[in-house]
Amino acid sequence: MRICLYYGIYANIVSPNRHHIYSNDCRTTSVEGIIYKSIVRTSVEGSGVGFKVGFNLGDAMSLKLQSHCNPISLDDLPEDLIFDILSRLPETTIIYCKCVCKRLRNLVSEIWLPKCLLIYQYQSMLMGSQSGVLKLVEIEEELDQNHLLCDPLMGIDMMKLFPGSVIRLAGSVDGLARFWVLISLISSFTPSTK
Amino acid sequence: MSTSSSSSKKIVLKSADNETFEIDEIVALESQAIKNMIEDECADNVIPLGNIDSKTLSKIIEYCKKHAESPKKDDNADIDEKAVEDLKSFDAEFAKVDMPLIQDILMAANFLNIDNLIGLMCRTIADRIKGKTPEEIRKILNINKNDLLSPEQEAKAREENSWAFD
Repeated sequence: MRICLYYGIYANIVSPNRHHIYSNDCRTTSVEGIIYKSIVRTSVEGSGVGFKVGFNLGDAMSLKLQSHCNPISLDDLPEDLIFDILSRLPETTIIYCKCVCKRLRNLVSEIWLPKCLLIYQYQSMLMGSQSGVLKLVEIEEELDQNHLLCDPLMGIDMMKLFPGSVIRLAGSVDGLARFWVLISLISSFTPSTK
Repeated sequence: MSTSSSSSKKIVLKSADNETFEIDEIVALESQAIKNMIEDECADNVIPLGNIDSKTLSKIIEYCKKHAESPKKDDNADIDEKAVEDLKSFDAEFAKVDMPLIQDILMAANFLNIDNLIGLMCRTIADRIKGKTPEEIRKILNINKNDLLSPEQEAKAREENSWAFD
């Protein structure tokens, strides 16, 4: 099972126990011919973080048959795509989007403003896969794929910083990461860059 | 390396309006969803795409063909600049369509899991609303009337972020 954080706003989760290994950008998975879509979203309200894991039976169900007298509109786009679009906009335009319609207002309120494409990738202890090393990741958008650039040397061992705690990444934006530490401690943390 | 040969495997896609499209397998592999289906051997004859109309599907196939033909980065480190430029200008031309079609393509690309195309469409939408006023954005995105904010709600949203409206 693998989680990738995008812009610190949403993450995609890939189906466990299946025979496919996906790239960071994976959005759908097919199991026995049925296309599933899976999203994990970290919520950043309050002091905690919740992982919502949902398998929707394809967005196929919510994809409407399109007829031309009733053109497809923003309402039909799934949230992750809207976040994708929002994350490419300058701050002012994101703020303007709050006045555009209810759906955009709610979605914009839900996120932290992604001021830039800096994210942190937290090699998850949560899943017990790797030691909890926090890494600075930069998204390099290329023509044919997005690369996550990750400095192999720079990493912060969260286990050493908070020994004996369970730590989860609550969200990150603009070089600032926020964690949820199980031993009732919330910390905000800016590591020095190179 | 030349791609298509007459003996290459074909995949047939069927649109919502029952039009069929026969394409080379290599073109279909641009879609991660179809690729998974082929790998899982669930793609026997015709792949029905009940939520994609033929207009959208033919655009998507056009895109996949072009991207399948052009050499991939991983194959060759010093890839020829010209090919990259060529693909860039293809993408730019490809995105010059009206907004409803862009949203259709985006939905379909999301369904078929064609990452490059999702990125291209999201970028296109973002470029079109970048720097626009709320009124203009509303028009560009074809916002449903039921989803509009009441005047009070809009005033509140503006007030909360008044710095942005100066």
